[in-house]
Amino acid sequence: MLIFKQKDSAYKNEGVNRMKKFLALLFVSLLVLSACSSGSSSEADADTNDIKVWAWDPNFNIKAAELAKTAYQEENSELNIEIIEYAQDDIIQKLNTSLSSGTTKGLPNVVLIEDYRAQSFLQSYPDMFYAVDDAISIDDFAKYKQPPTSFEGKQYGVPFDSGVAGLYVRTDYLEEAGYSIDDLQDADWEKVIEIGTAVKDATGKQMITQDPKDLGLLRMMIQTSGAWYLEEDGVTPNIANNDALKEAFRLYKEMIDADLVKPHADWSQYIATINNGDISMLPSGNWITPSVKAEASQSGKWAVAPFPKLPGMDSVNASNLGGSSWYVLNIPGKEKAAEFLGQTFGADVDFHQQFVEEVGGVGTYQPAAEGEAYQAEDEFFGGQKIMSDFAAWTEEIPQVNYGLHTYVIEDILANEIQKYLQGEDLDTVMENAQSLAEQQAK
Amino acid sequence: MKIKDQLQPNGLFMKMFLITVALIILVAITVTLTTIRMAEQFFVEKFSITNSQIIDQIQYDFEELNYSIVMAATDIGQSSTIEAYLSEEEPDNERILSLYLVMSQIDHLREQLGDQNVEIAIADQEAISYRTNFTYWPAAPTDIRTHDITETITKEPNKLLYFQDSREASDNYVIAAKALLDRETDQSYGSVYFPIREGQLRSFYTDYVKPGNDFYVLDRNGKVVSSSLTNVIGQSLPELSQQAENMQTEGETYREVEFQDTNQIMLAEYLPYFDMYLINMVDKQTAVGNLIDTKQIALLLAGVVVLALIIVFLVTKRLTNSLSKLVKDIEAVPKKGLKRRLVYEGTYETNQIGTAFNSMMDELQVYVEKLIEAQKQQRHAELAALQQQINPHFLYNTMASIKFLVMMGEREEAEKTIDAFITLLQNTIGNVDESVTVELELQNLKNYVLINQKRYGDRIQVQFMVSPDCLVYLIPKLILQPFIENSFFHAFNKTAKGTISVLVWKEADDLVCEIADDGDGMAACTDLPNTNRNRQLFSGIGVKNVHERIQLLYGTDYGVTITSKTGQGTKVSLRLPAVKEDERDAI
Repeated sequence: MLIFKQKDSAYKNEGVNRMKKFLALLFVSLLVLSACSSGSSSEADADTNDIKVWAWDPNFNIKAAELAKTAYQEENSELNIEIIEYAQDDIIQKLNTSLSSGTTKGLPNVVLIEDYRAQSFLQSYPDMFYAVDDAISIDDFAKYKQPPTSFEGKQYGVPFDSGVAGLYVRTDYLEEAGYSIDDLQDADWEKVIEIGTAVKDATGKQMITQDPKDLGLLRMMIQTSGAWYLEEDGVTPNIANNDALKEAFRLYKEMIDADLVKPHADWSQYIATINNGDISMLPSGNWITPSVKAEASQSGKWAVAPFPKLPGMDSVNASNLGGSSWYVLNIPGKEKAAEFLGQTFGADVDFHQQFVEEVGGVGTYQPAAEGEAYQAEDEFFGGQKIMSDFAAWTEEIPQVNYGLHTYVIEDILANEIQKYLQGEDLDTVMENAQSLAEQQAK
Repeated sequence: MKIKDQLQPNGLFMKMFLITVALIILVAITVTLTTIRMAEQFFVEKFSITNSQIIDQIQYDFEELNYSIVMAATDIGQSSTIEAYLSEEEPDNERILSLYLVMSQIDHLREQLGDQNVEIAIADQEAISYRTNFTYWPAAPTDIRTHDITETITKEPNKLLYFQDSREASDNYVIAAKALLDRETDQSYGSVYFPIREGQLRSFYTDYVKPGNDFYVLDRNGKVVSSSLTNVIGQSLPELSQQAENMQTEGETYREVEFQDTNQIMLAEYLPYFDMYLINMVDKQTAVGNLIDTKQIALLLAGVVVLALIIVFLVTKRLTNSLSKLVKDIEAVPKKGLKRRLVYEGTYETNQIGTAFNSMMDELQVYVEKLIEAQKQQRHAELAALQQQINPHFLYNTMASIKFLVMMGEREEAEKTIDAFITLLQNTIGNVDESVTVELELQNLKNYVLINQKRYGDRIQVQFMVSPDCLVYLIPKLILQPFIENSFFHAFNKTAKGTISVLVWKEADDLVCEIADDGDGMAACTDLPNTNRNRQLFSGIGVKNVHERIQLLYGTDYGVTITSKTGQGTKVSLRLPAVKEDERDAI
């Protein structure tokens, strides 16, 4: 459809303007008339060959997208794929702004969304996303990826990285305290704190680093026992009676009280803390691997242990942090965008091998886990086959429904946990958080 | 009237037309130029008012931004939590609690700043401690310690200062920064930074940007902090900031300057809190050029001039046409006779001239006619007098001849002669009519011949051959007699005897009379003999008078022609209009 741009010309006198407007109106109405009479097929999908992709994190997501683009364009050279980097918050904001106003103008064809947030988008704007059931087979992917990426029986997300969590450990510090990586196999958090305390005594290095507003650590902890901030319906807050969460709170306070936690305020400080060797352990998603390896001088001093389980309850040594999936927006070019994702992230074993080798990421596409790249030993991690380990842990990640309100509740918890740290009773704090969450998360 | 005549360079039309053309073009160009100039001035004036309002609006937005930043900076400066976090050493397990408070407080302030694209970063003496968006300026937290901005704000600790900084080529920021001072010791314990994306500043004026209408935000040294032309950001344009400063001190709202080789209208406003200049540059060509469509004006002008010229051409032509026609007619008058009158039309003046000319011509004609008439009458009188004069010798001789006949006893002959004599005298002296019929004239001639033959014998015979239809035509009296007399007494001096033939016939509308003799003839004589020298034997009318008389009576188309050859005789031919008795009044 034609959009007539009225050039704002304050310079010209009013009469000319009026005349021009009149002519323009005439012109437009003629066009409209002719368009109407010729049958309004202009609204039909413009067959576009330009696909835009939005993602964050140039070291990881953007790199992966570039790899996919290169792989796909070898066979489909006519498709122009443009990959644009934004901060995750910007992407969330832009999506929310556009989708809530019902417009898709300016939106990309493909957008990366964190699994924690996916449901809130899918449930709020189901018509704005394009189901990819025809492009991928969800059974090829890690099971825990399915709940966040699907809605009402339709698969919307193309699962991307696993976000499988591990406990990155400075083996050199451990050795100074008389421990080895083997002590952390199948360990629970009590064991980890014990080792962390010993390491701190021996080296003066704190155990972990923490952003007081980011409770990723608690999320990882509770997922090991299949619990989440919300009930399985994905809506009802599950805090006051959430034993896993209470245990996580308790452990968190224990670590802080033992002065095992070094605070950081933002991402760069976080990376700096890791690379400076200020901490002995790093519980995180596998996507932190490139950042850890960025400090080449620490090669051989790191290892990755399975994520610790919660003590005294049903819990496994596997969890997840972050992890995201690709979504196709319901705008012209969606079929081609879905095909692009399906043939790369959803099918191409070679591409996933490259993803492992060049980006160091762990995908959730199961057939790829058998590939050679997963079996490679990583000298940075003392020859550990970390990809293989991550892939193995991925399969064990308990499946939870992240639901709609992960971050809303986390903001509440981040505030409430401060009270707990300052000495309030845990049950009171949790009750309080429960009622706040019930008010805010509807 | 021919065009060629009108285009004569000295012609009235040409002069008037060319002068008018020149004047019209001159007036048109002058008026247009003046109008354009006035329009331009008016526009510039009007425009500067509009744009000053725009600038005021933009300035207001800048001040709003500044105000919210100042408020946030003040809050941060007054926060004991932040001061404690930045200045005090404490164990990490306590620090994580205070960090949370600091983060919460700053996040809260950041939320209050809204969607202005302003982030907050706080730094202690070493490095950035917290910032709301780590992708913003600067890249590495430890850079801040040695950063120029930190050094500057440390020197001026109580002020919130603004700086331009770029992280990468297209990643431009304006940083508001302030040192944080301990209220009691006045010692700096850290600093706060508000990185603002350049795009945010640009959004204040981006709605007003049009081609040829650009905005600049310059710091005091001329460094471009923000601009609608993104490629100049970070560059130095000291000439602009200099102009802006001058304008500020002289209180001008706008001035026209030469900038980047184009004429621009420059508006500037000082942003005191930022210590920056907000400058609006308008390309005069684009702005005013749009206003005035030179091509259209030129076309319109040409159209008007052509139209005026056509009107002038037609009117001038009409005016001068009647005059030129008058002149032509006047020129033609001498050729075409006094009876011609001017047909005039057109203006009052030409009408008057025409009337005057015509009445002059009328008077002249009347006068000339009167003169001619007088002359005619005089001549008539003369001729009539001559006509009446019968030579007394003719009378003696005739009387003597008759006496001789009587003496000889030829009574019959004498009686005949006396009859002829009486008739002749009766017709010449007794008849007062000027014209007589051909018949009567022939009778007179016969009588005259008879008398002469009685006297001189029969050696000269006279024969008359007259077309009978000619007898009724009128001819002047005694018009043929002089030629008979001439032949009688002069043509037969050598020849002993001969014949004189008188022929009268009608040729078309003319009457032709011929008197031919077979006498001596004359040598190459085509002129009429000057008979004044010769004595007339019968009346006062001579041969020369005849010609004169005919022309006087009938005009120059008529008259006498003589052909003669020595030894062969003389032929005199008279051509007269064929007029009958009842038509004579027509003459």
